[in-house]
Amino acid sequence: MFQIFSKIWKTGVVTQKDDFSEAPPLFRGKPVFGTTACNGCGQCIKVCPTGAITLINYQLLSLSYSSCIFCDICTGECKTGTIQPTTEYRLATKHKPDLTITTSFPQKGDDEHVASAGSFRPENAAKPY
Amino acid sequence: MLHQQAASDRKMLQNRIKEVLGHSLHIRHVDSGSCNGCDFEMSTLTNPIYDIQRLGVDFVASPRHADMLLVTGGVTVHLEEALKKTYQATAHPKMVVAVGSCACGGGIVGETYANYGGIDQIVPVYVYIPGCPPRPQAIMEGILLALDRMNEHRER
Repeated sequence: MFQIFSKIWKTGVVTQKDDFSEAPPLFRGKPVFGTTACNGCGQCIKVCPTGAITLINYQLLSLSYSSCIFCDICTGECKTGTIQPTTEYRLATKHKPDLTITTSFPQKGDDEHVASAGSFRPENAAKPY
Repeated sequence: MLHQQAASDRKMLQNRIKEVLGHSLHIRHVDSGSCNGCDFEMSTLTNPIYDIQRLGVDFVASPRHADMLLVTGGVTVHLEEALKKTYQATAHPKMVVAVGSCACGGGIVGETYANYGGIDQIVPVYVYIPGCPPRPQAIMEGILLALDRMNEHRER
């Protein structure tokens, strides 16, 4: 009996004081498009398991959080660091279009490194599975 | 500083529930073919660490008692009818919150012959909470957002 009360007393209040605290540093939050430009290699589109990253008219790289599963494979594959991992988890929204972010996708021959990487065409890519 | 912010957030949520509903918020959880990841995160809301009941929010056993539906999982063909019936049984205003990537837009399952790919294909959704699964704090934020949205629904 005494032990039970002593345990309760020692445990104290465990309820979180700050409801919307920062996630732990290794938490896989939403991936975002950083400031570095995309070089058009298309690796992120190939590796994305849910197809959340898509190309719109070969001009815009679009990432939809409504189908992203936050696996962070794309951020590991991205050589230019265009897709950056964050620990942000507060994504709730009332409007579904808010869940899609876009960045410009280089056209073939835009500059040197694009020409070497080659502009990505989904129809030419090998299926990942 | 953070504690003061959290205290004001809590106060805001409590006041908002009172203002909009006039009583506490009751939630019915609907599983429309999820992997149970989101369901586990949702069940942690009532544990001592997150303790959503201190805000006046509680989970109930019947949609007839509920103000809000927390739906997890992209709707499978077999559970489409269950979701529709639950939605019809819910009291007005029927507030639907999509929890998890599957409910928001298909997620890992996507849109297939057996899966509708998002509950917004079946019922109108107020708030989307993406995440695979979303953190309990993210679900709490979604509930707060939904209450903001509820006023405009009542005016209709």
